[in-house]
Amino acid sequence: MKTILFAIQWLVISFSIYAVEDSKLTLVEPLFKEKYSSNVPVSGRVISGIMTRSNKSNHQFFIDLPALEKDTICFRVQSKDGTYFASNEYKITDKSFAGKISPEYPTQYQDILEGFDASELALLAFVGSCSEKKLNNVLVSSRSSETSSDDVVILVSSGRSDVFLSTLADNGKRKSLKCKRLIKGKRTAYDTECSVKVKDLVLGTNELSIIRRKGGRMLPSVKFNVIVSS
Amino acid sequence: MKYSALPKKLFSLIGGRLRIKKIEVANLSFFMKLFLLFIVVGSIGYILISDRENTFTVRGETENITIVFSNDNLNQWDLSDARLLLDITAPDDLVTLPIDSFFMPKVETTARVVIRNQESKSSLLIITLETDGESVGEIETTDKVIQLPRYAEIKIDVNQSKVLPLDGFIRVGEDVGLGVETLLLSGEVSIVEKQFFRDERYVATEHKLDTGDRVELHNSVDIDSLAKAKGFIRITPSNPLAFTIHGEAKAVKVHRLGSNSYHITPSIWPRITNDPIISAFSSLLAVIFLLLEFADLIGKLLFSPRTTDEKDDENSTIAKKP
Repeated sequence: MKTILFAIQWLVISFSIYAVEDSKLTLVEPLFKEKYSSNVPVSGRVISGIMTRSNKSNHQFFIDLPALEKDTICFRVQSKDGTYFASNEYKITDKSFAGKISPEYPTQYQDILEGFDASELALLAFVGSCSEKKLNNVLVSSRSSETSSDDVVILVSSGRSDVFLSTLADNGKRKSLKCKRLIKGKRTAYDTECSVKVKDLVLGTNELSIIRRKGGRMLPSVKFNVIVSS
Repeated sequence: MKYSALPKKLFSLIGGRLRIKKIEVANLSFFMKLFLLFIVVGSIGYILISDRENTFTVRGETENITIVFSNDNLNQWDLSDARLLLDITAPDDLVTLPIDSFFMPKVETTARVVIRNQESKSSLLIITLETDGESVGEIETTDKVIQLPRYAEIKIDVNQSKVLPLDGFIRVGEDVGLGVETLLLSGEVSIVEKQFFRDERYVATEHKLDTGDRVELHNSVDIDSLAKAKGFIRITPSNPLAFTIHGEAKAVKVHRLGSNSYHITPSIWPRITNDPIISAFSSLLAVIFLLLEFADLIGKLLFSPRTTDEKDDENSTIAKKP
């Protein structure tokens, strides 16, 4: 009886592994690009990450993928202190697939990634090539298939400015939410955290913008779309 | 008499355990020294490592400083002639405050104070206030009270000296990063320590800060727990903010570019030279050993048994006598 149960369990595990492997996003280039050092140059983008938080600190990541016309997405992972940075392009093998998908992530820094807690790692997935300067359609990422909060967190590299998130309210008017300045530790890659409730976002495209004020003057706002598929 | 027998009793006790049957002056002296050494060194060790009351002082010049206000009447800032922004969506709608306008913050309001030098001789002081609560506080003018929202910005043209008192959890400087424009320029940390017995203090540690450091007072070295501090910022035209902060803490945490954060804590070594109790104990130890050595020498001279050669010499002298 035990043998039969073991065989069934083995079959289930094998099939589930096969299923996950099949649905993974595959790297466009065979060489996985990542860096870990104390002097990593930080990307000049204002948006460092858009993600839902989870209790688990995995080195396996998930992207909430909608059915897309384009077949390439860029996935960036960076630590708050700027020591870890990875930016890779992925090919979507099945464009009709919609849902959470785990990108191929052959990192050599598993322990380091798992050591970063929920607030210390920013994930940013967006449609198109990594070389694209303007951020348009952003996908929501996470560190686990199960998320622990109902908020989508937007991590911003504001250069110590005061940051507001502008969203569309139910009445069609825009409303501004004050974002929270991160205080603890080194803030090389990002220094501000904006939160928006998942229930305040619609399925499909959500137009958001980041408003910044620094040194008594307004800085140009940063507009982007967050695509929610599930 | 009762106490004079104590070392002998002690010796017999230790000697019994060590199976020393015969009490000798040399052994007694050795155990006396060991006992006194243990007492005096133990006392010095305890005084050296015992927990002390330390007052940390951080002073220097910076272009920015952040405070989370505590509930204290000290936190009242004169905002005469300041320009107030209440709505971020209408950045040009500024309210000019009259003379004798005072800001009274609510507890846990965060204020970020930044100074910028302008082309003219005056400087521009920008105070950004924010809170997770409903209001950052209120501004009292001569004829009304303005309730502030969750976010407000105050701009002041600095044409004359101004002092802003601080009471709360204070951070000085920003860690260098993309887009950071204002930094800590220079500073020093000094730790003033209370003496072991007396209510007097001495400077235990002094430490220089570098440009670009970010400094916080902490209650613990192991966990991130900010210590409450008091201080003030002195604002003068065309100069950076001169700040002085005092607080009873366990460490000053310094975030420095290119290295891990580190803590400045009081060293035990200045206690040897600065704490009179430790100096007195060290001197006492030296005097006791000197006296014991002296007593040992006298004991040897007076009570040591004569050798056979000395006895033979004495007998031969007697025999020679007619």
